[in-house]
Amino acid sequence: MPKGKTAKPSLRKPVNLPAAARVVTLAMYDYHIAEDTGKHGLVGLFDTFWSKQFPTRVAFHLFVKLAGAPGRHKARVELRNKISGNRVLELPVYEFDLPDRPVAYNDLVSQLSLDLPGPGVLEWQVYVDGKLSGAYAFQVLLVD
Amino acid sequence: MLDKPQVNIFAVCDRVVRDQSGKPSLLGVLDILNSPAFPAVFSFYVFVQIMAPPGDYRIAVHLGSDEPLPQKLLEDAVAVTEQARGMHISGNVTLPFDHPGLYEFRLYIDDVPALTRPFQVRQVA
Repeated sequence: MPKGKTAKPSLRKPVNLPAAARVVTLAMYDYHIAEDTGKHGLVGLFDTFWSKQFPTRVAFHLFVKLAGAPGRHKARVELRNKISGNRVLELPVYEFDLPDRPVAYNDLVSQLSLDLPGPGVLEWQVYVDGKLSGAYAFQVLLVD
Repeated sequence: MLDKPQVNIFAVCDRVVRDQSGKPSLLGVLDILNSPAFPAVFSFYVFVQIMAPPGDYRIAVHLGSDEPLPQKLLEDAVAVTEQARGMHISGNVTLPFDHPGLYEFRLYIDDVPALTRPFQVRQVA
């Protein structure tokens, strides 16, 4: 900077990097495509289970994208009955490393089979490093 | 079931397609935009799915960056009539980037910040 000049106050607003790990996407869908480039294909997104009879078994994929600070993290995903609070399903706890680069994400892809005893409201709960990072409720409906 | 809107999906991808029933699919979900040279123009889709109590909502996605002014990429109104049904908006975005760097998609619901999603624009060989 030339002598005698002072810097102008900066108008630049820094991009906010997530300090704590958090969920960016939680999606249920029919079919997964793993591309060679590392990209994902999420085919047949849905947000409600429909069935003509119960109990019923459903097969689907679950995609969870987590963002967070660099370092090692531990995640746990579970499915609970939103009304009773009872746990319906729990995925194995998994650990992952987020590299030290400007933006890092971790993608969890799970192929699931689930027995649904009846209509109701269920909720995915995602815990990262012991803290609830996201809760996603959805309905299970009886249709004619 | 819900007392406020929740964001289920905030994704950036190569393409969004819908089957005959309207069921969406996201193809080429990505986190980083790569280009061998700059300035570069990228074309991609932004997809947002929310679940919310019944009501009318305005969803907007802005591009945040180290530049002073954010840029609106996408805006749409959704009417939620049924509890616990996902509503989604998506749109094709074509954006020029003068240089690599750190950027951010900012999601607003009724002008209230709901979620941010940082992403990197990177120069590759």
